Parts: sequence; C-alpha cells; structure tokens
Amino acid sequence: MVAEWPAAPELPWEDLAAEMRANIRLRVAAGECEGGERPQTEGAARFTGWRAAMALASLAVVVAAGLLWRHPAPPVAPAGDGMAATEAAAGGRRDPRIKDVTYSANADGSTGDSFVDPVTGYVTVRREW
Amino acid sequence: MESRAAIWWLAIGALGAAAGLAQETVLPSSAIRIDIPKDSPVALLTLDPRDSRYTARGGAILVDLDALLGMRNTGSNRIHGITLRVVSQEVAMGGKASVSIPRLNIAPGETFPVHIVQHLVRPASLGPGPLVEVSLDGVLFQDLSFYGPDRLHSRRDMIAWEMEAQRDRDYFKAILARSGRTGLQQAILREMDRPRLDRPTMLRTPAASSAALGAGERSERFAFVSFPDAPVEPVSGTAMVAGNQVRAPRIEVRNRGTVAVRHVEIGWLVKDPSGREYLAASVPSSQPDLQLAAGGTAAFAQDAAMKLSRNGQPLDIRGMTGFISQVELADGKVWVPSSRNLDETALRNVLPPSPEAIRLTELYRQGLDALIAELHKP
Repeated sequence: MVAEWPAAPELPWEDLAAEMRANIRLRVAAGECEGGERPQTEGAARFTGWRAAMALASLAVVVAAGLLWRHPAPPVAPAGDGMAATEAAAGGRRDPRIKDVTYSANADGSTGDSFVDPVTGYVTVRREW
Repeated sequence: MESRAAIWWLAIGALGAAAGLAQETVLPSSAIRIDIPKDSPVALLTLDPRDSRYTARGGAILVDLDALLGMRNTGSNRIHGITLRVVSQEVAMGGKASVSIPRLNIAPGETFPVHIVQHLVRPASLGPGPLVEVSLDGVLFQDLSFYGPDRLHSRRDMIAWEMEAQRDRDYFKAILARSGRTGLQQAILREMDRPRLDRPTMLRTPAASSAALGAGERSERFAFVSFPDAPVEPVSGTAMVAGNQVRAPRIEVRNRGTVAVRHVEIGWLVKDPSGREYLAASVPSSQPDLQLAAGGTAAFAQDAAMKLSRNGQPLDIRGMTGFISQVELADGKVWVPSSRNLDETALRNVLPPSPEAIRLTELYRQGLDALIAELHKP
C-alpha cells in the first residue's frame, strides 16, 4: 500500500513567475549599464594559488580512485602475444628478510615457492592454483 | 560565504581521502574462517591476522593474507609435517593455495606457529561470509602415518620431502665424515649456487592444450635420464617449444616393478644455448586415479603452458630432459631418486635444493658450527 501524498497548498504560480522574469531582466540591464571590465568576484579571487592546486589535486585523486575502482581485477593480464598470461600471484607481499626463494612450477598449472619463513624459522612450501 | 567555502574544501578533501582509503582495508580475524576438525591431532589456539588486508577492485576482492596461527599437537605422535588449504574461491585461478611446513618435530602437547602469507582473488559477487577459509589438508607423523582429508595429495608430498630430507642429511653427513669442515662448507656453498629460474609465468589459452603446432612452435622430444632402481621408466615424450615458451608435455612411462603405481611425476629440465640445464617444472600423471599395473604403460598429458626466464631475461630453450622424480605405489610407498641416482647422472648440480637443504643452508648462514650440530642430531 502506498501512502497518500498530502494535498499541495494553493500557490499563485502565475504571479511568482512574472516576478522572477522581472528580476532577471533587471539584473541583466544593470550589468549592461556597468560595462567595461568586470571586477573579480570574491569566489573567483579565492580560487587561485595553493587553493586551486589543492582542489585540482583532490579532484585528481577522486578521478584516479574512480578509474581504479572500475578497472577489472588483474589475475589474468593480456600478454604481448595475445595469450592471456597469469603471473603467478607470488603469494603477495614478500618479507624482505627472506634471503632465498626457490620457485617451482607444475604442469597441472600450479606454481609454488619454498623458503625459510623469517617469522617462524620453519621452511615453508607454498603452492597456488 | 566563508563557511560555505570551507565546507566545500572539507568535502573535496574527505572525498579524496575516502577514495584513497577504499583501496586497502584491514582484514579482521572474523573474515578468516579456520576449519580444524575436532578429532584432528592439532588444535587452533590463536589467530592473529597481523597485517592482512583486502582491496575491492572492480568485480573482485584482492586478499593479502598475512596471518599467524598458534597450534598445538593434541595427538600422541610427533608431528613431522602439516599442510593447510587456503581458499578464497575455487572457481577461478588465484583463489586456492596451500601452505606446507615440512621437517617439523613437534612433540605431543607442544605448540607451534603456522605463518600464512598468501595473495588470493575472490569475486565480489560471492556475497557475505568469510573472505578466506583455512582448513587442514593433512598432518604427517614421525612414523609416516597420516591424518587428514588429503584433498591436495599432501600425504604424498610430505612423505617425499621426508625421504629427500633423510637422503640429503646422509649426503652432508658423509661429506663431513669424509672431507671434514672444509668439505662440508664447499658442499653447502654448491647447494646455495644451484641454477634457478625465475618464477615461471603460467599461460592460460585455449590453444595451450592443442596438439597442433602454433606459429613459431616446434615439437621437441625429451631426452630421458634413467634410474635403474626406479619403479617406473620413461619411454618417450614431447612438448611444444617456441623461444622461452613451453607447453603441452606428453609423456609415456612404463611400470617395470611388481607393484601397481598410482602416481608418477616427471622432472622437466630445459637447456639454454650454453648447455646449462634448469628444472622448469614437474609433470604429474594427469589421471587423478591412475592405476598403472606392473609391466603396463601409460601416457599422460598436461595442458599447461608457461614462459621461462632467468634473472629477468627470457630463457632460449634449446633442449629438454626428463627424469622420474616421484612415484607413489598402490601400497602407499613413495619413491624419490637416491643420492646415488643424483650423483651418477649429475642431476645433483642441476636440481634446486630440497626443503631440508634449504633449512640446512639457512643454518649454515648462522655458522658452520650450527650446521654441524644439526647434522649430529639423530
């Protein structure tokens, strides 16, 4: 069930429209009378220097974020030869304390690596599909 | 007017900051589900999500898992290895992984950490629920008995690592006995200097499995290294090669033993223009339920295609060699090449270090005495 809208109050639309048109004409005529070069408005005067730079930088961040957001996820990236190449995810971030990594591949499509984990001190063997 | 302008500046700044922050969000422990069966020989004590994060990007969620699990051996046997499945989704590539810790020695009642660092991808459309599920695939005990669902065949891998560990420890012990500290030092330095390739780039293409030659491709035949004591021998094999790309290996093997075989793995070596060889990949038998009877032959093929490089430079592949690297018999026994196999065929100078050799070289970095003390342990 949709609730009923309350009745709109009676307004003199014709009178209001005529008043608005008159005001617009008056402002246009006043502008033409002043002539010459217009002084900078208060808002425009503030939009210079570091303020403009800040605004543009913020807009750039917003646009860049939007582009990244819309960009498809990259597990399958196009390769130069037209094949779809999957860079093995390499397990993500790599701890700089890991001195030596041995990589491996399996013809079933998985890849892996072996290393001594600096957090636990244990040899760790990872594999990913 | 002043206050209105200030509000605009604040709004623009907040939008920019929010957009930046939306790229990476801390992953709470509630987003990681740990599934350890109640009757298993290990129990989860703690879960620290550490620096785990996730990022929503397009229609996907990228998970950077960096979690530390505190576990306890609740069974009555010493634990020598554990494998965990780490899954964000199982449909597409990049959603499934495993983390294994071989060469553990955890007594009943002792605690031990498991550190999981893994990058995973998950479609955002999967909806609510944990972003990552970690489950037990298997636990290997000192007597090589096993517990777990073994969905990733971790039993076979962990037994093979145990056998390789015993083989490599015996090798270094023999050198220490024969050539003393200097000989051991030279051997461990050679171990650290084994030729290695970069992480291979796996290729996904409908043509990867095609038996037809693609543009610029050639069909290369495997040369085989044969071990007299291996239960299986390679018969013939080919793969497609183009520059630094290889794909579609097809290999035929024969069971020359008296026991049926349920898994075979071929080590796949590639040769560069200077004649130096590198281990490119392992080629497993493709049938998940292979039953290769005694005296029988079987051919298996894999669809993988990959690009190989070394130190960032494409590897120009000029030849290929194969050898039997692992066999699992129907009775559950696992065969790996012996020290003698490796020495007689010069494979010792080609194959990358085993997990145990990696552990021993790490100990050597702490000092030769630390390595010798480790080798003297039973």
